[in-house]
Amino acid sequence: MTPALVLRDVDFAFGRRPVLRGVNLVVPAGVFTAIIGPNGGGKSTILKLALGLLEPDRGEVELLGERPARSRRRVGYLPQASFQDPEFPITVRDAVGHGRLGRGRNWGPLSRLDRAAALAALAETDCADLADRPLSRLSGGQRQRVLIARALATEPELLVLDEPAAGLDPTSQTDLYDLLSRLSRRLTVLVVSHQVSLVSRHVAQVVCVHDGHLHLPSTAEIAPELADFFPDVHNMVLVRHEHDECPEHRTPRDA
Amino acid sequence: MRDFWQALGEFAFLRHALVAGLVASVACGVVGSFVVTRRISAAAGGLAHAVLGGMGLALWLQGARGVGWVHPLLGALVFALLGALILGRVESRGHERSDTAISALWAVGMALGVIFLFRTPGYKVDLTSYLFGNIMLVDPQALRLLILLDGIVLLVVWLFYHQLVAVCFDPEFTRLRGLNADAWSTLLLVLVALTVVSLIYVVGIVMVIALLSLPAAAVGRFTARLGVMMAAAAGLCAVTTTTGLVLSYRWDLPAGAVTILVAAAFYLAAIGLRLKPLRRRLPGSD
Repeated sequence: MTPALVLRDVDFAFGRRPVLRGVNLVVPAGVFTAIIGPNGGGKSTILKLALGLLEPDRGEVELLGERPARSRRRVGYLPQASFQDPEFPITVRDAVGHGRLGRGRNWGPLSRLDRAAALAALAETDCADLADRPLSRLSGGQRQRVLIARALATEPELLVLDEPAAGLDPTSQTDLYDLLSRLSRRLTVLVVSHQVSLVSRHVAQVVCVHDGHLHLPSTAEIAPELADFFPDVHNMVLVRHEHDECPEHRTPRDA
Repeated sequence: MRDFWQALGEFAFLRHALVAGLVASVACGVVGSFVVTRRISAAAGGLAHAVLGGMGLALWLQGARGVGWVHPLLGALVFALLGALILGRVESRGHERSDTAISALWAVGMALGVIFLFRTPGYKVDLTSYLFGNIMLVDPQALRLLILLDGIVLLVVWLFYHQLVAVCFDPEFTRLRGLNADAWSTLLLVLVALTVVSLIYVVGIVMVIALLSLPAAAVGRFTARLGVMMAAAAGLCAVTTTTGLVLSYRWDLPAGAVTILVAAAFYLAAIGLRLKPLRRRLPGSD
């Protein structure tokens, strides 16, 4: 089966500051994968490269077997919450309807089919009763579920989420990851997070990024401190700077 | 008050003024809501001031070159659209700071306008009527152009409402859906440009930003739905322009300036504590 995401010898720098060097990474289709690591370590950069929002300085990126610019419409994306205006005046129904953009006709109100797809996505995230509520009046957890519904409304093969649980209370965080676990049964889920212990209970593959330029297709022996956190994870990939550890892994309960 | 309505029956220019205010209010409410939610009032101000260059050019062509068909509003329209395209290009390329581009557009447009007006032979054009508006000067030709602009703005917003809202709410997501977010942002600036032109006679170049943002910002405090915000802002804008016209006629004051003060009064009232209970009664609010 075609992997959901492949990075081969990827280098990337913001100006003169290198962020990623020689990164190799495979996210197999159907595997719930988390990219973890400290803030500023390069996690979100990998996501943006994967989605074609950034171009690598060197190396190749394949998303769903194609160049990201060609295949990214087959991806459902949840950006970091901090990138949006929390007071933006929009209803849940309209926000989820944006997931239908780029499909069907490109003008006028949404078709009946698009509206039905949006409602189905809301139902899948247990938010059907919120359809007519303003987005700005929802709790953080409800808001993230609605934006996941927007991503699902695109009918994606791969669901990509950037720090989906950041800023949520512990109960909402757990509920959110339970939802992602459920979704991972029918599509590939790739999540970026700095909350190691939170993702540890749900994912099947972990990628650790920290000032990353070295790719180690590792086992628990290579990074025993990671194994403590991910007892059920079968496949572990460590992308890190030589001699560095992910600070997230130094303490047992850091989420 | 009764004087105004009696005069309305007698004088065509007053009826034109009233209709122009109402027509401009529709686009003002719809596009003003985008301006407030997207936080691009500075860009709207830059476009508004840049149109003086176009108006000056039109008047110069009329006076110095005898090109009589070039209406000042047409010159304003061309410069506003050019300005929108320039700002859209600057935003999408990211090589230049957009606030620098807005400032440059703002000042260069005004400088060109002043020079063209200075070189226009014959009677000296009253610059203040363009800078501060003179709704009494609206002629049938200008009114037709205003209605046309209004129609274009409403049609484009109806056709591409979801794309325009999406690019305001989450441009990155919009881009990933295969839409050209930069092009949609530029289209939004074009709509702002068209609305700015429709407001020139009502409040003048200098005060367009206020009418474009204050009514939308005022109603935005009471609703969390963009559609409701647009309709309510258009209604408030219509009340504002009509009230401004009536008061200016009653006390013989400049209509543009009075209209802006009315808009400011509504805005201050909206943020006042006494209006807070209304929030529960409007749709889309808690």
